[in-house]
Amino acid sequence: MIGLFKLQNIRWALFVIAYVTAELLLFSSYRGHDARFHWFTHFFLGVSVALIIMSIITWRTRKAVKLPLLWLLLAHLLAMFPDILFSVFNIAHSTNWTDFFLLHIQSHFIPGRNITWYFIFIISLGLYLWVINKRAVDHQ
Amino acid sequence: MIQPSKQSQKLIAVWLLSVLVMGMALLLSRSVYDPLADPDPALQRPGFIDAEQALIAPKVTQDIPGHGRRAVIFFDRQIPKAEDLQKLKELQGSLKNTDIALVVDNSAGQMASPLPVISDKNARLARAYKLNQPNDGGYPVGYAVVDSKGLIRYPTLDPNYIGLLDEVLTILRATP
Repeated sequence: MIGLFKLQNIRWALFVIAYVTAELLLFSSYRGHDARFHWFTHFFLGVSVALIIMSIITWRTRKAVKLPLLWLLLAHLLAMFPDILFSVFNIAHSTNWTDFFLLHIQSHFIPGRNITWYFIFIISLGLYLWVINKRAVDHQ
Repeated sequence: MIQPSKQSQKLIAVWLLSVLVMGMALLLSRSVYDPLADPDPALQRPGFIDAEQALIAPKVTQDIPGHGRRAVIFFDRQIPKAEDLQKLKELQGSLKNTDIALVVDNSAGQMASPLPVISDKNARLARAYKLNQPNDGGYPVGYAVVDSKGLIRYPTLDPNYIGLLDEVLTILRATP
């Protein structure tokens, strides 16, 4: 039993290390493009969207989603996808299609800028953890 | 008094840790001061062409912006080094139907240049091209892209525009 508990903890620690490494790589991909601002915007928004979707799924199914950190990473990648197109494929943003990727352009202009997204992020995270605690029967 | 279960305590700890770590990271990121940066980072190098609020670009020389031609007007506090000017000249050579000019702060002095260099008294041109005032309140460093209809489509501060000419090219590709 103790061995299983430890194994689960090690697995979680590895997931967290992999996730943090991936986020650091994404941050470094912005180094030529004011990472201090843009990474935070798309991180907070993408992760918040993932957390809200995961909360809804957990609430409805009473099961925590598998690989939640992967959800967060994929949502962040979706939010910053136009920046990948810009820096890798030299495709400029356009007001016609770029906002399809989690309001990629509009998200920069929210009143309060990243401070607002930070509060949305901590509320979304709080919601997700609350739902996990209250509804997920399989969560240990 | 009801004590939260161990699981609740663990989840609360995760939340508090995330709030703290991301809050500190955000504060740290905001504490870095760049005197030449835009006070509103959302307006610096936004990466998209402004289609709705475009204004007619005033002439910086008799021919620039030219009729039916695009233009990139660079703004700087001083005339760049000769090798940087050469990079701008090479940029112009690689572009079709596009003119390049350099507008400098009135106090920048004079120098022989392979590009048209215009002295900007009281930042009149910089203001007309919608370049924001940077953090230190001085003359803006950046550029504005003008489309072939003579409209200002992409005004931005960019303290490192020489190092990011690829980005200027990307914006130009999207400019009609």
